[in-house]
Amino acid sequence: MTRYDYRIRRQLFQRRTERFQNFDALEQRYRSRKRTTNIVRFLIILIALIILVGILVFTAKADNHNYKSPVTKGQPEVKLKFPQKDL
Amino acid sequence: MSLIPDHSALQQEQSWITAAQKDIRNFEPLYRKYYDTIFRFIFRRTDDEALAADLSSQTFYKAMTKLKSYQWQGKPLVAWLYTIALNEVKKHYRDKKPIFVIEENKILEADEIRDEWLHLAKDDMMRLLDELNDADLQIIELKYFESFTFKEIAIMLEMTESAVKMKLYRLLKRLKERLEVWHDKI
Repeated sequence: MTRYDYRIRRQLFQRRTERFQNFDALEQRYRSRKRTTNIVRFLIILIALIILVGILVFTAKADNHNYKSPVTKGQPEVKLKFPQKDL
Repeated sequence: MSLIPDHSALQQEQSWITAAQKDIRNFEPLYRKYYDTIFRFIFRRTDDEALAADLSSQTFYKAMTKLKSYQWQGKPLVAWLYTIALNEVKKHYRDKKPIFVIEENKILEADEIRDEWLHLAKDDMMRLLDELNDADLQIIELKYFESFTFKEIAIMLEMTESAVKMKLYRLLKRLKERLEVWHDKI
């Protein structure tokens, strides 16, 4: 059992290879692939931007709500009074 | 076709690569120059015209997509194309036994191995080749099947010319010793 399937030929390939050459098709494939990649890249950036803007808008809106802060400056401290018996 | 172009041809190749990195349309001269070499290299490993044409196209397509990151190191682009072609062939034969076509005419042209080839049973020669590791087999292949010069092989394998000569000499010596052992057994 050999590693390769060895085949013996008198000569490897006698004919010319021009008929297999098609640079235009290869270039077209390259450009089409590049265009697709660029579109995908653009869409990913666009989606990332939309998500980012969404988060910014959401957090900005959250800041605008006038929620009462748990500790407000200038407000007197709450004094807790416990009955003498609990102390 | 020689792999080692003269200085001006090498400069020409560098300018083609630089131009192709800017606009892929300029890759065409390189494609035309090396298509035949790559096709034959792949054909030796496929023994199938249509498959060799497909894998050659795939090799050049991969080269075009990776050309932007290619850095000129003063050696012909074909060395890089060979690496890509070999990977494409390996990928194709991932689950199958790879093919290797031995070109008898080439062996008969090589003085060092012609006599062995003529006297030895072909199966024995294949068994002998099969005992070599991939790196050793590649040197035999480049020298005797692809007919590259020592200088060309040195460039492709990133070795010095004298190191390639020494390695091949030792390899042939080892093969001959192996053959003698077989003959003694017979």
